[in-house]
Amino acid sequence: MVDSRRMKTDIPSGTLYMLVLKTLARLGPMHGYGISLYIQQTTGEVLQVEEGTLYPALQRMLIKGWVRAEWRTTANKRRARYYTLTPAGRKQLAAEVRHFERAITAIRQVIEPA
Amino acid sequence: MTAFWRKLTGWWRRDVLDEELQEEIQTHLEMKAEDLGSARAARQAFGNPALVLGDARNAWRWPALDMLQQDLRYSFRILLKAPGCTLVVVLSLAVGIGGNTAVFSLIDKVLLKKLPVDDPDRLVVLSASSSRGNNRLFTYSDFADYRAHNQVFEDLVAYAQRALTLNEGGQAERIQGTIVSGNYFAALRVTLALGRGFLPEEDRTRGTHPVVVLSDGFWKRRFGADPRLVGRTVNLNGYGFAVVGIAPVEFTGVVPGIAPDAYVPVMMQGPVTPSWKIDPLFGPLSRDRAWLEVQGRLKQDISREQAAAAMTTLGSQVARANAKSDGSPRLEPKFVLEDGSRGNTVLLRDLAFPAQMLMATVGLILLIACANVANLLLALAGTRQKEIAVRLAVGAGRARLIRQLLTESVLLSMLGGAAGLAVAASISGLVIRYTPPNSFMTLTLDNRLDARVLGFSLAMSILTGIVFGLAPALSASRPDLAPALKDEATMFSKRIRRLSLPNLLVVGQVGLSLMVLVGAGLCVRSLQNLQSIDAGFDPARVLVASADVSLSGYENDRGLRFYTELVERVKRLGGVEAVSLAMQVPLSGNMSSTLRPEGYMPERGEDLSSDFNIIGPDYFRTMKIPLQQGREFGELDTTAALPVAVINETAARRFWPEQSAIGRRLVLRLAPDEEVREIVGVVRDSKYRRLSEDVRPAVYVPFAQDYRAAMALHVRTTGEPRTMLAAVRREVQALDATLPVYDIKTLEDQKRGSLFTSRLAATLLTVFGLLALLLAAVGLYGVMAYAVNRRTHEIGVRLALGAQGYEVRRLVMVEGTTIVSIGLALGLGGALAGTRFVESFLYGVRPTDPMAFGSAALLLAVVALLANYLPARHASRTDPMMAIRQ
Repeated sequence: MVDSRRMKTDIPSGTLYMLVLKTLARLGPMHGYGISLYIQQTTGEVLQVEEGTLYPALQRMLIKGWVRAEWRTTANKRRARYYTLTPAGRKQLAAEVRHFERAITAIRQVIEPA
Repeated sequence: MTAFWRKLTGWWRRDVLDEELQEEIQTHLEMKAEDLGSARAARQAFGNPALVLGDARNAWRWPALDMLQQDLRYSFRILLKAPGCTLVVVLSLAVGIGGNTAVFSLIDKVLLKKLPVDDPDRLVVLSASSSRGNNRLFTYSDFADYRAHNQVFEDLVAYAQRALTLNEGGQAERIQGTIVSGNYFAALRVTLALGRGFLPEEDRTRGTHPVVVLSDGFWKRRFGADPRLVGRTVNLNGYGFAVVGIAPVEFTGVVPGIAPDAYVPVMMQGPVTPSWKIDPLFGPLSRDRAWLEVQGRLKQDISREQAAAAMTTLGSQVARANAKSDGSPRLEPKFVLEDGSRGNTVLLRDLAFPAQMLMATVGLILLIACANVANLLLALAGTRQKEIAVRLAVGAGRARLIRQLLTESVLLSMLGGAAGLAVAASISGLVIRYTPPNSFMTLTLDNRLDARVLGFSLAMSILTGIVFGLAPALSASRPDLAPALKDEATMFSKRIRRLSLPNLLVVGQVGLSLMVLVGAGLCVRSLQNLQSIDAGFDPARVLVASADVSLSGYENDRGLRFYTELVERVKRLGGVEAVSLAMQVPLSGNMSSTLRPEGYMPERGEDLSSDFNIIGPDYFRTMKIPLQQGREFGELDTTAALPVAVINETAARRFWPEQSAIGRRLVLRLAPDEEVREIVGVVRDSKYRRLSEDVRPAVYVPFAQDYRAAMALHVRTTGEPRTMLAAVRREVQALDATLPVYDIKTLEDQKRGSLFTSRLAATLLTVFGLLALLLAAVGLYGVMAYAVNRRTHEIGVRLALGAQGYEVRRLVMVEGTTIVSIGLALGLGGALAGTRFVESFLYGVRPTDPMAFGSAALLLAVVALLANYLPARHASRTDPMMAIRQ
């Protein structure tokens, strides 16, 4: 049985934005913890977001206008900052996905046995 | 772009942002802890919250700005740690940049500035050359014809400078006026600040529209910038003129150096020149009286040569169409058009060369200052070799390092530039206060440093920083770390060391300083010579005041009576030793006459022009000019009596060497104004135009026989001359309350004022010379101190091995002395070559004057030796134990 913890993979570089944007597209408004949890669970614990890296990334996305944020209360009566995808963010997501798919196809062509 | 604005908002809200981030992270950790059951595990999975906070914060910053801030802060620290070096560099740049800015600003205002009108480059000044020479004056009728019939000018304007008497509020004042053609402001494209220029109907008929435009300066000075002045009437020469406009502040006429107070349309010529008995505009003599200067605006695409040719043709046509009343032909003028973008600069020609000299001098100072800066920056970078090597070794990028070093030098230079502006402002102020108030042109200088000069200085300072900071930065950051880290003395190649850049720079500085000092020495000697010239009269305690009765419409008889009575009244005042009248005040004269002495055969081409003055009785006694033969003019020398004259001894010796000149006759002036006069007295020579002149023959004629409307009262007082001024004024007012008294000065002032340019040159050059000397000395000291610093280890070894103090001193002094000697030699050569150009400005001093050269070189040598000795002495006092360990 493979120890899933030892097989933990880092997020490929450059894909953090894409994953976060997609998460928000699926979940709707969500706070940072929720986003990281979702990515972990959906990838079956393969991808671990080093949770710290999430917040600087979210701030950058905020500056670039891909998301907007507002403070709300959670179910457990905690105050948390919820992020929502903006139209610009949606456009960015589509672009990043396109770019990613193209890269993957190219890499596959090299790796696949002839 | 919006990212930029968001970041800006973020900066504004940064405290709130910080709190929000912290709260967000805290919440995340709590939620994770809940899920995992352990706060520690949550934290481990999260990563370092402080780091996360930091990274998140940084997302909002601009990295370039941060780096700059870091560099600046570091630079400030470094500069403060070497206060001496910083101070010297800033001062050097302040002097160099400040001097240049001040001089450039001054020269620009006086010489270079274009007229503040639209498109000044198409303005030209017209003059006509004929067999009788070059003439800038035209008749009104000719001007009108040229204006109407030319094809090459958009428009032509005419003007003439005339003094006016203003009578406002019971006070009579003499002001500077300009008579202008009605299209003056329109053709020059001057937009009036208030009101309007002249209308076409004010330019058509003589005397019907008494209107005036005032200058901004006059309006502010005399009327307190009263905005309701436009529409009111002012009294000029006894007539009421309606003020219709105020000229803009930057427009001061078209003759640089003369700022008119009032502009009057040419149709009002009558009241402005009441002494003219003819109508120069439309009367029968209107083509004989040339009194107007003319400038024009060329049409597009017409060159000056084309226009000149076209005007010459037109001029001939006009001349031929208007033969003189006796049938004789008029001269056909050949037109010469000169650049008029700066106005009529004929008065300023004399200033061109001194201005260039001044610029050259301050340019030299700037070079010296920059050399200092370069040297000091090199030295500074050198002392930080170790620090830089360490930084490179621990991974600083070379580019980053260079950028930081450059920031330092640019910061330093900008501080220097800022200080330089302060220096420039004070130098400007100094020159303004030096300008004599009674020179023949009222220089309109103000203390404003204009924006171009500001930009120039800023650019210069930044450029200096970059240029002289780059070389040291590049060389200091060379990635050859090991020797620097190990502090190895790389000093043992002696020959190469001598030719090092710092040494070469100091050689240059010494040389240039010597050149400036020699210049200063020559000017000072010249000034001393000038000041010791005997003027031929006694200038102590003489008050001079001028009046001009022509502007008040006096007839000759009335004027004669006025002056005679005035002299009588002033003579009776207490405190007056003697009173007289004269047309010319000494040392400002420029009237001359051609003499034909009786019985004298002039040689071919001999110049018979002589100085000329019209004087009242008692003149020579008042001026204390000794009478050598014969008598002064007296009461009996009137128009009814024999025409007489008095000459000076030069005239007597030249024209009647064997005999007494008394009783001889001479003929003044040319036909048809010739007059024959008998000589009744011979006086000692005195200086007429300038202290430095060679004395010419001079002839004096009595006022009663040759009346002039404008005369200067000369009053010799027993006490301080200016205290008599009020009393003299009262006497004038008693005779005519509307007559202004002007050009009030003492003869001492006049004598001092005539030496203005020489004194200014001597002062400025001395100041600059001493500054240059200071800079060079500091430069030398710095270089030597730095060299000693680098060789501390070596010196320590020598001392430990038994070298004596004097031997160490000699070691250091030899190098310094060599530098200074080479510099002196080069400087002497340069000075010898250069002073030839200033020969014409020196009086009684040869351009190779040994005293000037000797004292300059001596001063420089002494100061340089001192600058060299101090580090040498410091070196010999090194503690060998400390030095070896370094």
